[in-house]
Amino acid sequence: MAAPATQQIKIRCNDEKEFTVDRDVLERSVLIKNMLEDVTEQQDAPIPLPNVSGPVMAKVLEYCTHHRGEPLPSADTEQSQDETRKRTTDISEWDQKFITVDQEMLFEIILAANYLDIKSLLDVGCKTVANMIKGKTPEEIRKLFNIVNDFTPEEEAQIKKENEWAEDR
Amino acid sequence: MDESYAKIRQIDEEIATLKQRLLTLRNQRNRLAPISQLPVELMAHIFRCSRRGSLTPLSLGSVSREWRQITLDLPELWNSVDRALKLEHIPAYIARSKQRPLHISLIGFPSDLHSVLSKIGQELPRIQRLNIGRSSNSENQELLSFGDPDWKNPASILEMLQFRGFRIPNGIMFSGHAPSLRYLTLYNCKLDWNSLPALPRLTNLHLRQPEHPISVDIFLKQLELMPSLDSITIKGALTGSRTPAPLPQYQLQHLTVIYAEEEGCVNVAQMLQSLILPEMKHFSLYLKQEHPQDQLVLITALKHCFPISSSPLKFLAVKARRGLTSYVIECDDISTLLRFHYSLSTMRDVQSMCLHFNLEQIAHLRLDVIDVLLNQQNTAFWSLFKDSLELEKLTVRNDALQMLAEYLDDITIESPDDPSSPLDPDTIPFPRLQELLVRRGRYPLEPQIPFLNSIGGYLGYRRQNGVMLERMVVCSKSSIPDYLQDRLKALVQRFQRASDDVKDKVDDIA
Repeated sequence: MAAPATQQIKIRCNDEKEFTVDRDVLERSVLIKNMLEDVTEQQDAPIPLPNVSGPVMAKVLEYCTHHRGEPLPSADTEQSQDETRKRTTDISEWDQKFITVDQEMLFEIILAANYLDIKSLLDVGCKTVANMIKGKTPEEIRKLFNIVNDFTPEEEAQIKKENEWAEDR
Repeated sequence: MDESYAKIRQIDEEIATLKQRLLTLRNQRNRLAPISQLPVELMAHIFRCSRRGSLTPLSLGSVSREWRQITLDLPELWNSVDRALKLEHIPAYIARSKQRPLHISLIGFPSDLHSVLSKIGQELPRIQRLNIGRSSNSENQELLSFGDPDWKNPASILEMLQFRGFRIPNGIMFSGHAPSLRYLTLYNCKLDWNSLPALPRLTNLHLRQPEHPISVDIFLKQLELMPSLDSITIKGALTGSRTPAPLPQYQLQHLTVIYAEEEGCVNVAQMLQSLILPEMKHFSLYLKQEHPQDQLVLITALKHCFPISSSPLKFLAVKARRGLTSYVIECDDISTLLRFHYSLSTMRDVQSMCLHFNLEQIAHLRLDVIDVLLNQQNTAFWSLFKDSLELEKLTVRNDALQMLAEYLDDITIESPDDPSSPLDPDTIPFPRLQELLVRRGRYPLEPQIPFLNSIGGYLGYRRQNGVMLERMVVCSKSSIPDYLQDRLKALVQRFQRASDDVKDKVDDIA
């Protein structure tokens, strides 16, 4: 039988930070939803989340709380929406504001969404990074993400040749 | 001397080692960057999201070694081939896409397109969308052609095909095997129409300006091999005869849309005469030239195709441009239309006109009429629509308001002296009209004050009979002068005062 919506669940992050959250909010995470469904008895012990830190979990919970009650994608819709999701980089206004964080936090949120299996949040994160890349040259992208050119001279020459294909048109 | 060479060799080795060391350090440094926390599968997801826009897998792969490897491992980044590339490098894209379905769009290349035709032909079994040929502004150039045996490969998953400016040899189209093809556009192509394969799943056919127009009988025979057709668009595609031999009847069970843009109506009429279209919902005909004597043929064909008892037709549009001196349309049989669009806006040569419609159940009427052409018709024109008892939305260009005004005046002037006596509802023009939209015409709104007076009278007449207008939109080319705004406001206020159950309003004055 489904648990009442108001049931409170405790979780513990990798920095020992604990949160007590409404079950329906936490169930935005497919990982936690499955864990809760596997546990028949009500347990007081917090659910350990060894891959997520407290500050990141706080952001994730902010997202889950805002989107609570929205239908979770079923396996069918997920497949049909998959292609659309990949192609469009539109993000809703609230999600855009929510995801306006520094790069480190952005990548932490993406990792957490991936670990907790929150597809919509993962999409928001990945689309945000895609939007950051859009319209930039490789050099600008390197600067943006603090990475350097690590190609061998041979690779560099090959890439230069390949890029001439596109630039000539 | 030997000692110096040995020293140089030693230095060279040191340089090489240092270079290698430098690359290793750069690589290590990149691995410490925050974005490198993301595993490869998430980077791949980001790259897939980046596919739209200016980013190509080439530029993503130019950032770092790791990014390059990710792009090379993602065939879906390479399966869209378009004209952003140089033709000679298209094979590399095709190779990197591995076995992914290919989407190829190469429109606008000049003759050097030949250089990749063979390569594309080899890949036919995995091409899903193919859009290839000359740009529309190079119509005078020689047609492209392919005679390569590769184009005999079956096109097993091909769903969308567009050829522009091709000479298509007989029997070369996928050896007659394109079982998944749903959209086919042949634009300015030369082909033997009979040589097309059977296309059992084709739903949309666009046939535009073939090098030689196709005779209606051959066209219809081929349509029989496309039993799933939902929509046909033909533009300068058919040739017909004023005295055609009788053709057999062809039923296109699923066809719902025909859009035809032809020189004259004879060929279209001949096509309609031979078709049984039980699901037809939308018919648009745009005539470039017309001969008055042919119009009867068209009318007969329309009657045949859209019989009153069974046609589910929802939309009919007939447009024409220069060349007409008189125009007759009689559509007694079309009574189930939801929308009717009749444009005379480009019929500059029309001197006389006769329209006979019986559109009792029409719900949306859109007319584009230039009054200067139709002064002779005046109110008689509008009275043609007096049987439009179900009309809910009327769109009219402000050019034609004068006529509408006169028509409404003629009707409403007959108001009885005793306002309490009930009027015959049948005397109200457009009794169910809910929305009146006055579109921008060639003239500013200023000359249309008679219309406001007339519409005022008309609305008053409706109110007397308990029928309100929901919405009225007046669009003007120029800003509306103050005196006219005052008149419009007065019109609104008048009706707001007159009824407690106010529905009337001037919704938008733009």
